[in-house]
Amino acid sequence: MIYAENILLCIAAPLLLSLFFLRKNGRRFAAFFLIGMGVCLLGAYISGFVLQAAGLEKDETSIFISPIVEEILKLLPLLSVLFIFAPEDDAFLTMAVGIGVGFATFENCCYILSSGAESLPYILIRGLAVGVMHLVSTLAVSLGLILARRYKMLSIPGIAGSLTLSMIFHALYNLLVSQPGISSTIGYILPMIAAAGLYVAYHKNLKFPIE
Amino acid sequence: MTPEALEQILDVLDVLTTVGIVAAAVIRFHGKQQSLTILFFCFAMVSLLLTNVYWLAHSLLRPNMRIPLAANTIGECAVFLLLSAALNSLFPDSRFSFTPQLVCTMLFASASIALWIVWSGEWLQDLLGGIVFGYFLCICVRNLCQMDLFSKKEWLGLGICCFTYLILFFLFAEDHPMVKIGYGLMFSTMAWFLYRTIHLVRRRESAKKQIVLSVSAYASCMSGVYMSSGYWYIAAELLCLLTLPLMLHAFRKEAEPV
Repeated sequence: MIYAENILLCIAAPLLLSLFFLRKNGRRFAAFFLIGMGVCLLGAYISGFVLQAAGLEKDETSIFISPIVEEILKLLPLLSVLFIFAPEDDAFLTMAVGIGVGFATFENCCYILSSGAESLPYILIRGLAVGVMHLVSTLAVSLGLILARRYKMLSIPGIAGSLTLSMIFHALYNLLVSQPGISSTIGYILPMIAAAGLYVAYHKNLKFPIE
Repeated sequence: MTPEALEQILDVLDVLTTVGIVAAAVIRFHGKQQSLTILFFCFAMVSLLLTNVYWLAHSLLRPNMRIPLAANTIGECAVFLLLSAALNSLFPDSRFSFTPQLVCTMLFASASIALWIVWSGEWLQDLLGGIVFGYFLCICVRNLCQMDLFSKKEWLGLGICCFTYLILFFLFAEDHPMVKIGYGLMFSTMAWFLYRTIHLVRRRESAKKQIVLSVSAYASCMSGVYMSSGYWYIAAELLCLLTLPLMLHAFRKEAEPV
């Protein structure tokens, strides 16, 4: 049993204070890092509720329900910012990275506190696989939204399409690592490969002009 | 070969076909000025590819696990919404009017959702997927009416076929001989949509007509996929796969400069 709310308060307090001393992208990143941690806690509450209410097994919830709940929760703040403040692409990506990293950091903290940090391979897997997976899935949804906005497709279908990118990536990761053997190895490598792919795609700034 | 083994082969085929479609779409449309219709189609095909990859992984790793609501349902919803948006962008000024065809489509979609819930018991998944699929069917039917692609006799025939097989599926258990008649009617409607689409392609009709009919053929085949099991499911999936290159062909025609 860990007290996730207390852990959140402990990590959030200095970050909250840092907002007063940071400017522009630094402040954006810190603010959305905090939001990411909050979203992680909310996601855990909702997944726990669904597990109880729908009478599902733990496995079923983590493989099928958690990706849906977590990706929708990560999408909501991004979508609000996009519609209310219409930020520039770079600023929007900073916010998305903040949410993804905040989510991954808080989830890792809670797992490490509950399972211990003695095993280095386990720690590396948590950091490089699960941590990167949350970053990549949030980046994927934000890049989808940026493309949708650029090509004037920012409607329900465009948002659903963007959400699909992140949700299926997350769900695929959870599904692959749920079985031992070659599938889990592929699952652990997948986020790093996807991160490299996203890095190349983002820095090449692929053009797809519209009439 | 058992239906389960065939289904796994079909899942691989699904992924390979969608990879081919996405690759062909990217090669054909990348770097050129494109309309919203084409962009929505490309986005839909990417979503379909991801959904198929997820489904393949699921069928290989956890074939017998219960799926309450998974990412593939959201992926399929995205595909239907994006294809609906592609159709809507072809006719930006069109409005819904309650024609008999549209009312029958709504009834058909509602009855289908009820059947899926009875069969699977996963009400949340079936309700969410069913509502979006129903909307997609309505958009297809509205555009078919708008383009005047079917005569009154054809609409009547389609309506009778669809409601007859729905009633047969409601009344009889899966192993009853009457259900085979239902499957026969269902496959007739799917084959009819495919035949009409290929006929339009061969007659080199306008891109808009080809898009509307090929997307409607896809919708009809998807409806068949959701309604069938065992070897029937495999046959329906194969027909559904056939509609993908037809859709690609139609959207490529739309992208061609006049």
